[in-house]
Amino acid sequence: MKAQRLICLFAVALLSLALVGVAVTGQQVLKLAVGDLENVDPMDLGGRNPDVSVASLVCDNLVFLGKDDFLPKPELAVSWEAVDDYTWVFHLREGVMFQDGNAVFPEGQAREVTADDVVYSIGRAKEVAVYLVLSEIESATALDRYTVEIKTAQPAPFLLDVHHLASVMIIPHEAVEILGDDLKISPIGSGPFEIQEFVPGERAVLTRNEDYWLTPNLDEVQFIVIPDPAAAIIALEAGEVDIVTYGPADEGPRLLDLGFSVSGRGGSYRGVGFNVTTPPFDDYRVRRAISLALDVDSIWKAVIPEDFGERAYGQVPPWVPMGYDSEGLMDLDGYDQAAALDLFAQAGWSDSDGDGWLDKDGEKLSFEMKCFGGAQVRVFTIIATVLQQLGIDATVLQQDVGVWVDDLLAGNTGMFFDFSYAGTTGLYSMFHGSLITQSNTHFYDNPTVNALLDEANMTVNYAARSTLWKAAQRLIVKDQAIIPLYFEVVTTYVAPYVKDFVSEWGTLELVSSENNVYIDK
Amino acid sequence: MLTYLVRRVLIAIPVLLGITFITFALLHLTPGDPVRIMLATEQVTPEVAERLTEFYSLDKPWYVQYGRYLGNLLRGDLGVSITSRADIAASIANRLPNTILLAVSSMILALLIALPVGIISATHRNSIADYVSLTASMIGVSMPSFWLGLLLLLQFGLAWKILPIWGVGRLSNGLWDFISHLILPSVTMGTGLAALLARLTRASVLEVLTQDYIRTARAKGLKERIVLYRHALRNAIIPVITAAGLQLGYLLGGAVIVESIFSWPGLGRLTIQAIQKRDLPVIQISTLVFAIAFVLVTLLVDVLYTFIDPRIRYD
Repeated sequence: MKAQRLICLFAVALLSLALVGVAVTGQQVLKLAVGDLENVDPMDLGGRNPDVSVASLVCDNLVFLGKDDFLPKPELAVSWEAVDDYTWVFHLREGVMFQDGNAVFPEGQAREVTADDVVYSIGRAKEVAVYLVLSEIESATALDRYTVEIKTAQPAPFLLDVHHLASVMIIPHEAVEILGDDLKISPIGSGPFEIQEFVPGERAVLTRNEDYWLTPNLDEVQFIVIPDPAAAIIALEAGEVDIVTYGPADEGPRLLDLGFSVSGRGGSYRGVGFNVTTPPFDDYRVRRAISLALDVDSIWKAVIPEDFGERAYGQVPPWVPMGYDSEGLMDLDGYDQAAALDLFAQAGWSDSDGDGWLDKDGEKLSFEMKCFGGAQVRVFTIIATVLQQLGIDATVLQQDVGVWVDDLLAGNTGMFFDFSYAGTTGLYSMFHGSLITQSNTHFYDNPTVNALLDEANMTVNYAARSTLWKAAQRLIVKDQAIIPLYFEVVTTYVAPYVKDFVSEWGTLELVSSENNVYIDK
Repeated sequence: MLTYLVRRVLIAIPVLLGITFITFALLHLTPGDPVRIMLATEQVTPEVAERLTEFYSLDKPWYVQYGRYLGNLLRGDLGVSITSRADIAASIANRLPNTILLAVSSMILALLIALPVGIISATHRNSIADYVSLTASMIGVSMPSFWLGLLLLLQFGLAWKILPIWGVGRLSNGLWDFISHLILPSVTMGTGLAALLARLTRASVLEVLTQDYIRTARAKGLKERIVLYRHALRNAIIPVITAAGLQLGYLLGGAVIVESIFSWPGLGRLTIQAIQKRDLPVIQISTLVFAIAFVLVTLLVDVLYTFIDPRIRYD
């Protein structure tokens, strides 16, 4: 009897060990829910994040942007230097092979990635990638098999930034010649994963590139299109997917309680914007008074969960590697409603007839605040309520996004919800005087700011550029062209067993010198 | 019949041309274009915006743009999407079969439920069965599809985990994979439709049952089953087919909500995303495809009449 028990125990132990073994050696498959998949031609990705993610796993770039500091890190280029303000030299990693076993390179017949491929890819990107800013590159030359020289027409400090050279993926010219339009669904590169299947609007399946210069932990990566955020969250909870890349922030606290983690990089800037040429906002005192009237800390926390955003004191967000300056701008912030009323009075706006509304020359202080939907309506509703309590007849006007944009660019606004994707050069686009009616919707034109931004745009030295950027931003905030509210972080929900995951910024890095994602179930 | 069909197809040509013009005009009267939206929200720099505007001829007068669009259309070039740069013909070709599959399966499901329920309800007027079917129809018509879809998703996908919750099944993975993916979206779409058609069937059968020829058939001693199925139903079904045909036309236009909830890659989702992004070429082509689908379905319904009611002739 005792012997029988021992045999049973031994058998159970063996079975358990076998099961554990299966679990440990099981396939490492990562499933990501994405909003859509459309076209993964590495040169033609536009701003479509899911497509960029797929292509960036298939292809290598010269650099990727670091997970903590957002600064360029070696990928296909092992090192680089700015020889002078106009010349950059990149040294390539040797022995990196393009993927084989595909329509371009049959199994075992792949070739090495060389400087010529980098030159070719830059050339094609300049021709095809209408969304990238590559006009700054005057020429790209292969100095030898592993060295590329890039000359710029003028000093190009943003060369290694998102949407610039850092976003150029390196592909073999044979892929373009042989695949033609099929490049949109079956790109070939030298990245850590090879594309096995790409069905637009449905799914993409990638498998590990066994010849990659790092060893990916994952065997397979699947991108699954689930456009409805609520359905994506259900799929995450059901274990059908491991990551939801665009989850609604409102779900955050509940999912955190369930053990899911949140990973977010990048996002958008949200604030109040003024067209500084439209009365009454052409008067600095009015803009400043409105700023003083608002308890921004309470407002933004009432709109999104605290873990999913950050208070903004300027337009430059923390994920932009220069110019972020919360501490330096804090002194410009303030909440003092008495001082606000005093400033309104100095500007001529007071309740002269005792009807509870501020007025001037018999005219009530009345304006519309324009926005186009989502959380911004909630923000503006709170602000309108606060301003009305102070005697200002502020109303929220929710518009169609096209109408909102047309109004903004035509100058047909006074106070509007200021929203931007907050890229690196956002400060320039939004506030440089030369861009009024193009992207400067504030109609803000300050010669000192223009000069600072122009100088920064020509300054390759990172520290010097950051200083100039911060100085310009300080003037803009001080002039109260904006009331910064918050930065909303892109929310990615990750299952607890997914380890070492870093959200995308420019590219999605599942395997890099900084991380290597794996499943630990 | 053939002459009739040819005439109908010829009539469709100016109709479709008119639709291209109206769509184009409406889109160009709507404020904002995709590039300006990207520019104002700082998704692209002014330099890129200028390049995009030129690339897509958005700076050209409307008649030049319309002329190019029509010219390309006649050459069979449907163009590329502004936002995804994907070939529109390929996008439509990828999604249209999924839309047809979902529309047809939802319609079949709806008819399978609606016809028996409607007939039983009519033949057992004011009975418990009638009251139950009327109540169920009312609930079915009133239930929003996004609510029903999420409810089904939560119960069958999350709680019981017996049905897949996203995507299209593939026959290469087996018949069950194909059917199981179809069940939840079809039920979501078909429920409201079934309720609507059941009520219509009931009303139509009730009306026909009071006709003189039915009384005559009964007086001749025909069995009730023959009276109902051979004499009453063939006449009662015509308004149901008309309504079902129109509904099929709408379904072929894509069901945005159901397609989004169940990640069903159909035309509805493609179109709504294009509208949100002001992707003009995609909106124009999708609208044209919907119009063609409607024209074809209406034609199909007209032809079906001749099979159901031999008195109808188009020659």
